[in-house]
Amino acid sequence: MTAPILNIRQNLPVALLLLLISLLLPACQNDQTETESAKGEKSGASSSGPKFSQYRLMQAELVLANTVKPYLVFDLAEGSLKIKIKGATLWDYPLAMDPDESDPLDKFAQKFLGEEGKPVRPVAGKYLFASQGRSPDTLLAIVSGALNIDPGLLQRDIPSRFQIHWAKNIILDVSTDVAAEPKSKLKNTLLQVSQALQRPFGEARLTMKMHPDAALTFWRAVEVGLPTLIIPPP
Amino acid sequence: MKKFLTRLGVIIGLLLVSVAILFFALRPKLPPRPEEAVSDSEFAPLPEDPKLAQKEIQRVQRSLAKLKPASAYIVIDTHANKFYLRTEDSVLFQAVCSTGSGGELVDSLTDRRWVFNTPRGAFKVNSKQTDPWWRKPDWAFIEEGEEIPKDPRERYDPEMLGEYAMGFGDGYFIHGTIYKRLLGINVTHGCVRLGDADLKHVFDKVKIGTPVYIF
Repeated sequence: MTAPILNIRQNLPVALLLLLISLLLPACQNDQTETESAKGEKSGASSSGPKFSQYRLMQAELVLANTVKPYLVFDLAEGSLKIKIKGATLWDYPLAMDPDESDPLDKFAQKFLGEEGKPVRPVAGKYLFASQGRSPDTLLAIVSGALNIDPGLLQRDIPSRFQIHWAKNIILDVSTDVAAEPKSKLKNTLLQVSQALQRPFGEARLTMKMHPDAALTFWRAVEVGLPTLIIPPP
Repeated sequence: MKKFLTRLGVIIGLLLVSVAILFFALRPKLPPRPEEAVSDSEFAPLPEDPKLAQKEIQRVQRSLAKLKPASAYIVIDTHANKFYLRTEDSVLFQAVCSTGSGGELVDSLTDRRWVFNTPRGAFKVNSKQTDPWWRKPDWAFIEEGEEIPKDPRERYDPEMLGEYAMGFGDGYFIHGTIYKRLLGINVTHGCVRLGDADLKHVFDKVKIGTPVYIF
């Protein structure tokens, strides 16, 4: 007698479904490897408490400010986003979150800091959902013709919606009031589905609106690898 | 009937697997995680002694404050072609400018190559000139299809830079323009162009040594 569970032929759909779930599950899990490796590499810090956290933030900013490269500051205490270089603010924008679509700031900060409490993470990726050209093509055709330059170099896209990722599950979602055609409907949908699946497994997301001019600068200035310092809420 | 249901199940299962494969193949992928900007070794522990800890905090605070500009500084946003004179807390003045196009020029005779980007980073105003003359570099002639003059006097153009120019190093200037309709577009060879009134205002406000931050 064959046990029903072992009858592969009869249970093929179930087996396929299990296979599908096992395929999908890894995508939904947190950055397990990241967390595990973090556990192993404890910093040499011997202190804790608010004074130490403040010290660590200052230390981190000092390291960033001592280079000649820009860095991003996610100031959740003051409620602003800043692009800085050598400690000087180049660009800033108030963080006005959409409360319905955003996680609480402390949850976001905690996720960003990770178990090891590192206040700096490089930007891991960015994704543009839709955008609109800033200059009319007719004007750019004239200018690029006169200067003998590819018009694509002169165009500046005003983003309608984009995301900045610090990990698969640490996301800043920015949108503007600019109406624009999606870059790729299929890719947009797939990213949204994958993020919806991942959300219950520990995603941290902030969603905000931005003025189109500010969004243009922010989208272009934030490049993959840009160091980001987070200042947690008080 | 049982056979039909089994087949239907197989088809649905295969469809689901195909959807899953398509999902993984097509969904946008993040690039591999970049290098850490600040490594663990750069975080020194805070001394246990409260007095020493306070001293250490003050030392880091002072080092950070020393890096920040003490007075107003210039910020140039090459992405939106905006020029700012600002302090840490507020924008004192802002204007539309033009910055580098990113275009490339190759001299077919010598294979020399130029890329017309505005340099990014931290600079300082190192010269201020009224009624500046532009000393045209080789690329200016090559771009126009002209022969590079042997007489250096033929390189000077009294009109191109407008009424004022502020140098910030390596031959780059903040200056005026005769192409005012192109302000706001990335059309320059690397310099930063401003409109006449804005240029005069900035020229009057900034001193030699004023920090210039370009991003």
